[in-house]
Amino acid sequence: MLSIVVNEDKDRLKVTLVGEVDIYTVDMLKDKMDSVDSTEVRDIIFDMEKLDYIDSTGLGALIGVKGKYPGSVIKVANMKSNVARLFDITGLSKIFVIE
Amino acid sequence: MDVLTKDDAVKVTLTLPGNPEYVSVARLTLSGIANRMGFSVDAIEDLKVAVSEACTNAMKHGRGKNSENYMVNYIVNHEKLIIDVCDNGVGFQMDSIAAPDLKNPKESGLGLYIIKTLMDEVEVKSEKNSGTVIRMIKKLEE
Ligand SMILES: Nc1ncnc2c1ncn2[C@@H]1O[C@H](COP(=O)(O)OP(=O)(O)OP(=O)(O)O)[C@@H](O)[C@H]1O
Ligand SMILES: [Mg+2]
Repeated sequence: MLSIVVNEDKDRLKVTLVGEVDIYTVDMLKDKMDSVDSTEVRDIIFDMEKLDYIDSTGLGALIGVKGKYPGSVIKVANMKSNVARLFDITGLSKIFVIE
Repeated sequence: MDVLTKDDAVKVTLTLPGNPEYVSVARLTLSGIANRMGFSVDAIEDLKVAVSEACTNAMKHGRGKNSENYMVNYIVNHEKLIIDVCDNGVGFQMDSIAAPDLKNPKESGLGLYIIKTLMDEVEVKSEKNSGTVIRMIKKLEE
């Protein structure tokens, strides 16, 4: 299961992911990101402290977010080691700011 | 790919529906088996991703969502775990799949690369229109 909490604070978007992102739950993430009014967004931070699992379907969705906000700084915070490992393997740790 | 015939090999077979909801069942089964075998927590995380990637491909490319079933075989042998994911889909040519450009990430094309990185051995047997078997092997570290 996945739950997503989005906090919008002026031009800053914080997305907290709790649970698992896989082929079943990834549409929730995509829909949630699509529902955000993107005109004001400058900074995006994904809080992954409680994200237990992600695979290529979720990584693909995050790359999609990067594509939608080419001018934004996208941060990824508090990754668990298994999640961080996939970011390293796929080179995503180079396109996002890791905190 | 021959089925293992050694005396000490134990096989657990899962038949899953082509419904995305059930990929997590393949992960849960994996956790149970790999944990019993003595894999480390980190190795189990790697195995979970590999089996999910293979199941996701069976579902996404093997045929339409919510239709065909696919199968996962977990073959347990005291020093290694062999996982076969088998579908009856359209098949593909492994040689024709290029490695992803990691400097220029795309939204798809990462799954097989991730599997190869995380597992010790990967073998794909696929024929046009008669399906795919992907065999992934992870050895138990001493
Ligand atoms: N079981 C399968 N049946 C048919 N084709 C497959 C199968 N598995 C993989 N393929 C082919 O190999 C390609 C690469 O697979 P891979 O998992 O690397 O990427 P993807 O599934 O397209 O995207 P991602 O895994 O990043 O979400 C697929 O696009 C598909 O053409
Ligand atoms: Mg895939």
